[in-house]
Amino acid sequence: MIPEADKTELGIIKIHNNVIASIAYLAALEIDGVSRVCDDMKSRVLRFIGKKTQSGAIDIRSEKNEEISIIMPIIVKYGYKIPDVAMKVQDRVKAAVEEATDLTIRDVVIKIKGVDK
Amino acid sequence: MRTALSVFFYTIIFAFFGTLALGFAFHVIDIHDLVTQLTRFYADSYLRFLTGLSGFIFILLSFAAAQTITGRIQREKTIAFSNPNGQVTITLSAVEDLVKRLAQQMSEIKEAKADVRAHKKEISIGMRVVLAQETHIPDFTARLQDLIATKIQEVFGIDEAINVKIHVAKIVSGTDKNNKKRQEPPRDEISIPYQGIKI
Repeated sequence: MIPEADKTELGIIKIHNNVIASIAYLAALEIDGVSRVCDDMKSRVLRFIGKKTQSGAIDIRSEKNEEISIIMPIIVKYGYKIPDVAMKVQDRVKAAVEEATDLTIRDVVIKIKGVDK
Repeated sequence: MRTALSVFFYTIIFAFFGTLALGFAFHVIDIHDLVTQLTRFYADSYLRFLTGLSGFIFILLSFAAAQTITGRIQREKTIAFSNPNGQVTITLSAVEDLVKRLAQQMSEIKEAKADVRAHKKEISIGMRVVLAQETHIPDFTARLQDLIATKIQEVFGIDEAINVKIHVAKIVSGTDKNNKKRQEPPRDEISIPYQGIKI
């Protein structure tokens, strides 16, 4: 996990990848048709010991030119058109992260892992 | 890179135990030396701690390696398309989920299992279904094939041809055990004789 850094007159602002993941997580859940964001082993363990996580299995990859790729595994609700849901999630996540962090999002990769009620 | 490391990890482990077994079989390893070393490790608390710690690390590494390898296998089983903001991949288990949910909506299907495989030019779906007795199989299966193919093309936005194979595994009577349970009245409604009589 490489924290994102931005220089100001007073010092450096670093945004941790977990923060970007949390923004993406919450933005994705705003979209109709998204049932949930998938969990990975780490978030399952954290939940098991009582710690709340809002990043799931979202993977943030930073490039050298400060462009970011967000990889999101999601479960879609049954009855929704998946390409539409995926496109809305990509747009919403990109807008939310760019708005909150001023970082450039290169792409948002959506992985549909299942269909839920 | 991670997959290569995982494969390397398992190769080292298997090679180590293989060499140990060969050394043992061909009497290359002296049994007395082995027992002496094992006794030393067993008696010394610091060496025991190191052995326990390395065992714990090996367990964690093996889980990580297994997850990486299986993750790679799962990654290959997807349908992908691109949007302006990035790629979208759909796992075949998501397609299976949808097929099962479609099947659950039809009263004629009592049980359904789906197996989805993606080929270069088509997606083949194998369905194993248990049908109700009164179902007209040719009509119903044709309707089911059509429904699955159109619904998948619509929901997933897939242009590829979809080949649906249906295997009717069993025919069960309409009033099976589950239905009988459903037909039973709730306990509250059962009338108890002489319930309201006061003596």
